[in-house]
Amino acid sequence: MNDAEQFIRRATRGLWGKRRVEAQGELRSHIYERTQYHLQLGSNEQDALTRTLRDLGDPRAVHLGLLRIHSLPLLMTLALMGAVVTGVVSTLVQAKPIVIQGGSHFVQDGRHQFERVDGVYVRLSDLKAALPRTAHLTRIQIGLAVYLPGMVRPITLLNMVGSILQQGSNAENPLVNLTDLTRELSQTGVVVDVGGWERPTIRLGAVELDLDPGTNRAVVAELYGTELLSRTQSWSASSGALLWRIGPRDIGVRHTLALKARPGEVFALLVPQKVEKMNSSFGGVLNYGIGAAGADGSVTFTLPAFARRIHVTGDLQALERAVAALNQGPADSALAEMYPAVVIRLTGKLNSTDKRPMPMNVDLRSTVP
Amino acid sequence: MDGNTLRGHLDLILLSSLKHEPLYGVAIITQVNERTGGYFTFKEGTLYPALHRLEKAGLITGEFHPAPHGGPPRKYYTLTEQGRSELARKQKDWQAFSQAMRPFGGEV
Repeated sequence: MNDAEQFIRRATRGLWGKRRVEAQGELRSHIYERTQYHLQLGSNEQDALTRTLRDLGDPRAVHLGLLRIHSLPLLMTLALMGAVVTGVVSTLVQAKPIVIQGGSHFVQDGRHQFERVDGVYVRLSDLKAALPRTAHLTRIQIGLAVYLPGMVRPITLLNMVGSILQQGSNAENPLVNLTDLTRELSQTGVVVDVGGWERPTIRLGAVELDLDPGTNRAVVAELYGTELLSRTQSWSASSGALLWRIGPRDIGVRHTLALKARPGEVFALLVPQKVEKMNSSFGGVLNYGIGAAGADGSVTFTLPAFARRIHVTGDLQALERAVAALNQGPADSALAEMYPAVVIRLTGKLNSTDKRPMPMNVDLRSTVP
Repeated sequence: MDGNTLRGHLDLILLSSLKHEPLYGVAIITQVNERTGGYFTFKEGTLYPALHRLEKAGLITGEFHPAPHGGPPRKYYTLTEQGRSELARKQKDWQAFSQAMRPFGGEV
């Protein structure tokens, strides 16, 4: 076997079937083309091949790259990585409990006025302590630069009201909005997974953040809300901007729906609402509640008090029509008797390739608040 | 060229190189090298895992075709509709980022 075939075999070891044949064919074609190029420049055959293989680099690097893409079981991949770079894995994967803070925070803006913001926050120092040494979180003038293992590029969380809260003398250790952070991270290729309803564990690439067991449901629901936002953004050009949540999360009208779901599965219930917008005009938006299925498969959602009577449907367009009607009506208009509502299944994976809203095919015309 | 810088923008570079026509691995390397005046040079073996990752994500598709002057068949990659949208999004992100960073880049 010549050097080229030896390289190809080493680079594709562990791949099977069609994937192996295709990867070998592609590398064979590459080696042939580059060898021809060096021959044309005047190299002899052996030199041309040597230069080509040198430019391709270490076959183990190609091998690991291809294995990671082609779904070799994680355990085998880690074992192989360990054989090449001993100790890297142990610095990448590290799980420490982390306390996150939900609810309201008061921040002082530039005009010395206090403003209330709601959200899920974590202290920068806690976040740094929970992350492995290979992660980088750096305060910069315009905000916070973040790099985690698995990201293809770093992100910057800008100093905007609500994203990074600097309180008094604590500017060096501000509160970081975890919802904003996870939303940004989910755009970078790093896997972001809320984990589950009962025992949420935020997974950021190779890093797992164990949330404090006392974390309240509203905080977990807020993180699932990030997924809901991304799904409604892909639903239509306008509806993403229409997703608003107004008022406290646990006050309102409760609806329990018999969805026959598996215990722990998480869902959102969306209803249209008329609100005053920033430019003082009135228009329709979508409000929502998030809940998880109990042991009997039913799910309880909390919606704003106006949504006492809802008509649950699997028709997303019914919601859009209702929002459009609210946009066109007078300031005090409301939907007549029944508010159309749609149930959307959530997965907790914030950067899933499947961004469809995933409405449940339910038609529950009578629900008891 | 700092490897981290290249890695951070690899997807944008690869998707962009396929914007106008299907290309195979060697042609992608050559094109990127020429378009950037030699600023970006791949460690060639790392190109294929990146291409396979984009293919698996549905952003590009690959198909073998005979090489015009003999030799083993080449695998040509084509941008999918999803890939085109992703490219547009990445380009927009990049423009916003470079705009925001301009005040910190110093005089050139």
